[in-house]
Amino acid sequence: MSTHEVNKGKTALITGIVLTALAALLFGYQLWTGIGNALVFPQFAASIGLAVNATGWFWITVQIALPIIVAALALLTARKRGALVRGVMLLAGVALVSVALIDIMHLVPNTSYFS
Amino acid sequence: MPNNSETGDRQSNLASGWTVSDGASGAGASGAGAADKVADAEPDATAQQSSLSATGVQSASADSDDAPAASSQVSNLTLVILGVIGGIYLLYSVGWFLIAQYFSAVNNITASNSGLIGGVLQQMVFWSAALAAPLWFLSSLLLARGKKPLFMSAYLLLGLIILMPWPLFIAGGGE
Repeated sequence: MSTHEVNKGKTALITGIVLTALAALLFGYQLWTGIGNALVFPQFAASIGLAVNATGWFWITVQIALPIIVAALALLTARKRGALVRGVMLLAGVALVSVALIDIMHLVPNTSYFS
Repeated sequence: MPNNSETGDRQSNLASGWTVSDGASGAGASGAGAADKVADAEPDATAQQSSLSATGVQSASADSDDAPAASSQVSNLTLVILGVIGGIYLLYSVGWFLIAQYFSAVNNITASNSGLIGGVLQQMVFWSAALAAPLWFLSSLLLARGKKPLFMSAYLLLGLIILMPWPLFIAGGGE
């Protein structure tokens, strides 16, 4: 293996680790906002004399479960590959969850969470 | 474009399979069809022609820069798939960029108590949605290496369904 190839492998490894760290941070934040919603929404509902209904709890659960499921799937598909592929797959997972969260935010009216 | 005689015949068969299943592929398809008629006689020359026509289709559809890098390893059918579907992914990227821009702007106005770090992370999450289509496309290239073209087609089509930019088409009830 030439020096060039070694350097290339090292660059791929470092890039992969950086991407994985970034993805972990953003997955963590997505999970955190989901849990935050689960804690805050009932208080908000109570403050306006309502409660979070079944629809609300369903979407809150989806928001918490999505980052976990997608991260697990990304790790599963990249399990026999190098650090770079794992990093790209995890970041693609983050982007996918963001897309899903925006879809939910856009398509599900917040008012349907409470009754 | 270099070809070896061992894989030349197989590649031209794949190209003809693509032509039959999708009759409206335009000039590239007819080129591949014509090439296929002499496939039995001259496999090498045929493969050469098919590659040229496949490359023509691919570059005509305004593909992203991922496909040429992979061209030394993938078949002609794969190149055509990458070109056609890659163009749609490009449109999706533009769509999600616009959506991310909108939600980012709205969040800047409405986000009050999330703090600096929370605000930055929220913006990153919104903008990562704009990268969803390119990253899904890239991951299909990474995962499909060594697999059949059908795998990549299915993976890319699944992405087109999942990443549909709904907020562009449907008026929201959430905002």
